[in-house]
Amino acid sequence: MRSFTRMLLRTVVIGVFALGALAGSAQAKTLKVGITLHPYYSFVANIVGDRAKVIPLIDSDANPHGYAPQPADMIRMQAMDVMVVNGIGHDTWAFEILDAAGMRNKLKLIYANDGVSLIPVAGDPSGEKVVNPHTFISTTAAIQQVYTIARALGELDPENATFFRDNARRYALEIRKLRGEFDSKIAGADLSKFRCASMHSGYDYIMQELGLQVSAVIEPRHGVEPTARQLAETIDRIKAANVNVLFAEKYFASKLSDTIRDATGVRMYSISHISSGPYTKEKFIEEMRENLTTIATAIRESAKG
Amino acid sequence: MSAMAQEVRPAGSRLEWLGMIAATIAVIGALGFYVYERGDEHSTEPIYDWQVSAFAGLTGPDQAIYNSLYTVKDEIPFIYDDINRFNEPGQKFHWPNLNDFQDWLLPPFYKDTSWEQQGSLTWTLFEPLPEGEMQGSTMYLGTDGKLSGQGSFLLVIGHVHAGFQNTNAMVIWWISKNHMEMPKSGFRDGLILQGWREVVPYSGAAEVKRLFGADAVERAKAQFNGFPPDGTPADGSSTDATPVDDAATKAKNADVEQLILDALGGQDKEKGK
Repeated sequence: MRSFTRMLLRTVVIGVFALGALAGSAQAKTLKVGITLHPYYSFVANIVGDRAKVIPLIDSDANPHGYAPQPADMIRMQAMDVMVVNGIGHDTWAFEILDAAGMRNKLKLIYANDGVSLIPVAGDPSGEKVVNPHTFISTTAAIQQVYTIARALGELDPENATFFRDNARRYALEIRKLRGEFDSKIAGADLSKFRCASMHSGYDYIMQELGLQVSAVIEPRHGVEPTARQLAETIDRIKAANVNVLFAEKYFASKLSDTIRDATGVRMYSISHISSGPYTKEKFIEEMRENLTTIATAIRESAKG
Repeated sequence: MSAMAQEVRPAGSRLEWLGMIAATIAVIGALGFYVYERGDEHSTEPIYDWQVSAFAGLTGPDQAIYNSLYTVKDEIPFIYDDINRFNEPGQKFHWPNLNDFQDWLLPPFYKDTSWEQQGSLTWTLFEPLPEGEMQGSTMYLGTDGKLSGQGSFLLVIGHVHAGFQNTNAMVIWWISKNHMEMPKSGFRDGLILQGWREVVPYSGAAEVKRLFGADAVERAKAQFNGFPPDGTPADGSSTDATPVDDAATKAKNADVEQLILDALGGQDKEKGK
């Protein structure tokens, strides 16, 4: 009897250890996917579901334009197995953090834009073709990134590759449905009167996908305010092109937009850069829906004259 | 008394000139080396006469249509699998037609306001027979756009059994002509002779190469090889960012987890959870 008890105890102890080992193994299999920008949080969260953790690199209320890396970023980076980056100019600070943390060439990176066909900044008066890094304020380019991320995560975690791919497809369709909603909101509207300018180049991808032209961009370079002369020239171009709509940034307001509105009489609307506020799975769809609703409103109101 | 001008050359003038020339050569050489190393602002793979850059060569609606087609390349194989998944034995596999694309809301085929804004191209599918004269590539032709100066597009899906090197390799072609007939074959040489030009994207991968060096993407991918999710990497190092070997590491990891929890917890609070 005593030996049976001992044997039972031994079995239980071994079982507990085995369960612990299994739990540890399962934990080790859970990828920790870092992200640099809000849209990538939504993309990855929708792709991985509950089979990976998503870790934002910077605080949710930090401005990713000209962001100054913080010590806490390095600590967060240490916890990542892989990090999804824009990599074409919108998260250059992530590479500074990589260097500061000694993680360059150690942390796996997924360049979300690998498969995106890039476009130049629209409305550049110099005619120079400068790469536009705002691929995430879009539908088609966003979908391309979702596929790229899902494929890369699938290579990293082959057991879940099909799961990731199926989620990516489902999510891509959700993104695509936004276009259908937009279409119903502008049904019958006369688009010929719609002429827009934007405070910065953030909205070129979505505008191009919708078949809308951006006639002028106020900021000469991303995050750079125009000089007085450049501003005067831009106002002249806005007037010459009969621009009647100005899209400004929702999160990072600028007094310049008021100046331009007063000087030209354009109607002003705010569009989200999807780069501030809480990181959530739903954020990208919610804010793109809001953006498309705003654009639809601008189109309808410009059609009234 | 007449004034007489006399040129007085400094003793080291010859050396000064030599120094100036040497410095000029050094500066030009350094600039030349820099340009050689960095390349043009958007230099990538060479673009041949029979190619056109989507970034620099296409504009407006044509650029938008190309970018949609470029993403569609990833989606068509998925849809192909979906529509052929439940085929009966002997039933012919077929590529998605234009009606299928309407169901999937797939631009540039889907007929919505954006399609109208981008010239309302008429799309036609050419699906080859498995053998005989019409054997060849699957092709989607987009032509007869309503915008001034608009070109035509051709998406070619090559098949190994039809002589292509890669199964389902997709190539996008563009021609500046507004109206085109469906080509007889999707082979490159024939299309080039007809005036079609292969569209080459300036992709994020090319931009990453320009910004971070030619091997940046490969280096990033190489890291993947060291991460079997349930094993150790080839070099024997730990792949888990939270190893639990010693007390110091445990303490550090606890800090890390706390920071992450704080970051995510703050967000939860904002969401009212």
